[in-house]
Amino acid sequence: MTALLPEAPIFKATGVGCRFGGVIALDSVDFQVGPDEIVGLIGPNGSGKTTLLNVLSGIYRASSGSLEIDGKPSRFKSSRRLSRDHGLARTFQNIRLCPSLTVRDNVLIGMHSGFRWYDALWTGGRGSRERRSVERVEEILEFVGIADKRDEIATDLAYGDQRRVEIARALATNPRLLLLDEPAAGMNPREARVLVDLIKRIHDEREIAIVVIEHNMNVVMNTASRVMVLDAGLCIAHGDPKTVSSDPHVLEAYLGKRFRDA
Amino acid sequence: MLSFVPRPVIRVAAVALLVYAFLLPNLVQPYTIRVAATILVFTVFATGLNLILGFTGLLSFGHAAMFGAGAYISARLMLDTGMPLALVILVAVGGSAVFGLLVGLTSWRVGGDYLALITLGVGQIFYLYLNNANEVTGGATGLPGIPAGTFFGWDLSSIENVYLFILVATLVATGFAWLIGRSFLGRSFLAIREDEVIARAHGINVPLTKVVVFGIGSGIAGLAGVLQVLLLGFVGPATFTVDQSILVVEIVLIGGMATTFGPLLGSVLVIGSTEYLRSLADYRSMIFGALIVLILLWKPGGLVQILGIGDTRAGRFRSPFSLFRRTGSRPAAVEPVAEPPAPRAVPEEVRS
Amino acid sequence: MDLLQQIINGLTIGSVYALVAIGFSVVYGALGLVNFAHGDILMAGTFVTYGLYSGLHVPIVLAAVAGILAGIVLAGVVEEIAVRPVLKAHLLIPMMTTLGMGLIIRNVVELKYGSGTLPFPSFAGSGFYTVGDLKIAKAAIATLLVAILTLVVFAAFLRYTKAGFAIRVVAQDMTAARLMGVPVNRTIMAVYGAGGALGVIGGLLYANTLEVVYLGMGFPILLKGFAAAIVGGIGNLQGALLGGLILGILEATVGPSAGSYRDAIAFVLLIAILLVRPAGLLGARVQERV
Ligand SMILES: Nc1ncnc2c1ncn2[C@@H]1O[C@H](COP(=O)(O)OP(=O)(O)O)[C@@H](O)[C@H]1O
Ligand SMILES: [Mg+2]
Repeated sequence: MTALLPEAPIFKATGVGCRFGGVIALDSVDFQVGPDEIVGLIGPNGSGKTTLLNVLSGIYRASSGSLEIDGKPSRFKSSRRLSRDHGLARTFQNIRLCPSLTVRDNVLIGMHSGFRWYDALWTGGRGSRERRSVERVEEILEFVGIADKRDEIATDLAYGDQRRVEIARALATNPRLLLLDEPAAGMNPREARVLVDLIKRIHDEREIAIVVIEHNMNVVMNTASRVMVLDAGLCIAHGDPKTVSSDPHVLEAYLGKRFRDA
Repeated sequence: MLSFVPRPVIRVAAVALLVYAFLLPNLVQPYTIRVAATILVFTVFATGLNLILGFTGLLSFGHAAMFGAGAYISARLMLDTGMPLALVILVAVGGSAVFGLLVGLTSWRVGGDYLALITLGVGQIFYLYLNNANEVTGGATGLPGIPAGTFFGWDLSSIENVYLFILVATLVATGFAWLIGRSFLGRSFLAIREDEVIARAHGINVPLTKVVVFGIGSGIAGLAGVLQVLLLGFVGPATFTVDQSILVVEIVLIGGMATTFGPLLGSVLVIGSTEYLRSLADYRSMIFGALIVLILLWKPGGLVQILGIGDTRAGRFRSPFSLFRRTGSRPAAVEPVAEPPAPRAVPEEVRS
Repeated sequence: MDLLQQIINGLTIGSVYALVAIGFSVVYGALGLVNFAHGDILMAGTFVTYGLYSGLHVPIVLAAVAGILAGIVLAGVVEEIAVRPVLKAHLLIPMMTTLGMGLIIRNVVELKYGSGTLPFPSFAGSGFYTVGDLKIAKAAIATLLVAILTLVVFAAFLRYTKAGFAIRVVAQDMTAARLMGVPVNRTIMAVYGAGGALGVIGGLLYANTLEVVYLGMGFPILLKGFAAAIVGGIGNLQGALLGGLILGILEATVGPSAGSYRDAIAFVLLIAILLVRPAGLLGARVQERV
């Protein structure tokens, strides 16, 4: 199992816990991502997967444990710094798009991680920088396959397309590590297959490390090189996809004790 | 309403309107010029608030304080020093911008409704200050007899010239706000308004941007204050009450949040009707209150949306209004936002 | 003794702030929304009582009940028209629509009563009780008693009645409440009604203490109630009570030396609290779900 761990992880979490009042969302989890990995994160609902992602991306504060990014402690870094300085990007389980902006403007928000607010003062928004951003966004929209919807209001799109807008927005930050929270939720099997393809292409062509939370096992099995299973805030299994999916603890977590030996 | 009118026609009409605005002093009575100038002053005032409220979604209920800061700073400078008007404007705008930055700093810790309350408080304290610091502000009587200025040799003693000066200043302020609105600074304002978590996670410095927008919006309101001093030759606390702050919120909402021409349209309706429909004076706040409710429920883009002269530019419609679509005047083209109930997923391997 | 006197005065006015703050907090706790019409609703309810009591000489208890009912109805109407349809919209929208409703309500009252200050004879009669060196106005005693009674009744309402339970459930988690069959819409209405009732009682006591009613009275009460709610930790009822009393006592003790800046005390306190402890004295920081 340890043999699977990356040698020089981008991100390393040791014993992270996160609690909300009395709820222990994460108990103590060790987690690493290497630069050329796709890590799958599975587990029953409420097991703390989203919380882990939120802690990693600086949206929640871990209540215990240590977090390192690029070898530097990151437990108290804001999501802005993680995005801007360390190339961390993510999507959200409950799609979060700006409801009044077009697809293109939504994706352009991703470009802001490279901007400083005072840049606007001398470019007035028309500078070559804004033009370059629009070009880059155009390229990203092509890449994820929603270029034809660029001028539509983002929240008017179908569910699957909205998820892809989120991925495009995350890609626009020019990330090294991309965290995807249930990207296939609400997609039909055909869309899910296209998504698998997209995730692989993001990883291969753009050399971005990926962490993907997913309930759709097709997606996980076909993309992840390593899978971690969470249950009740603890890691209960960890390893390559095939072994993990037949691990007795995992069966128990998903189906209950009775089925473990069935 | 005007969406059926071809775009070039609207453009020609807009240019004609602008020309008319410049010729106005030669065409109408001084009273009308005065009203027009007042409308423009409030346009500038509302343009400042529009950046804060319309674009960034921060509720400032104390914007009259920024307006007042500009007015009192310029009045004092014009009374006490021989500073050229251009410099006076610079100092007054800068001063109110700094004031706004300071108020905006509180948004570092708090947002939303709390900020509304704090700004309300700032407005109230400022009003108390105007009434009580007699040596500085002249107390309840204010500061009368402010000499007319000259702007680089342009004598602003006649109402016609003051009007023209205000018109130019309005164009500058509107143009500036338009530039900001379409720049990526404007986009980060909108991102913050719609979803701070998103803005933050994509590298936008949310607290700093909020403070900056407060500064800019207050600076513009300060400019409006200077313009009002030029127009009236007098400042007194009565124009900087909380009611005034609410009035300018009404203008922004009725005109259309996050639009370029909303402040102008709102100002024409609100100020114009106050001046010309005096018989309705008793019902005024009822009418505007109802208008606000109706607009926010059905046409959140205000007059700009109702008239259909939205800020369209090269295929990009940056309407602030779909925000409200979830509650649905339009048939929802979107699947419900709620999560599809994710099943207690069973890995396929496990099933078999 | 002087200080004690001031503290007693402070407790009296503070209990009024506390009532309004609790009305505010109930609404905020349940919906996360500020009702900017709250001040105008309580002003209108107070005027209804004033009209019946001073104009038509209806007995004060009946007049007060009518005023409170008017407050409940108005709050319900505001909720129905200006809040329910935009419950899911941007936070800004319900704030603005309630502001608009407040403008309408105020205008209606202005049409009937004008914008002057009208005398409101204290229903406890004028005069003082003297205890040692202390002089306590009868009106103040009445105010304190009514405020305490109201708070106890309201706390019991929240704790022991079905509607009160529903309010607490909706405040916890609206979606879950809906799924569990709690009539959410009706509960929200009840929340607004309760807020309106508490507001009007606060308004009546304020009028009773100062012995006047005026069109603009909703504004300072609203602001101070709001400030008290935040100081205590908005959404937290004990906090609102605490905040109201603290504010009242501060105003009574520091107020005289603050001179014309007396009304600024609430804001200075508020800003200080928000900068030091944004969740308020008794409030807990909650992590927004992402
Ligand atoms: N902001 C929050 N406040 C309170 N509880 C939370 C919050 N976020 C998550 N939780 C709780 O933490 C637990 C784990 O949730 P989550 O990480 O979303 O699970 P998963 O994504 O695996 O379904 C759940 O019990 C959830 O209710
Ligand atoms: Mg989740």
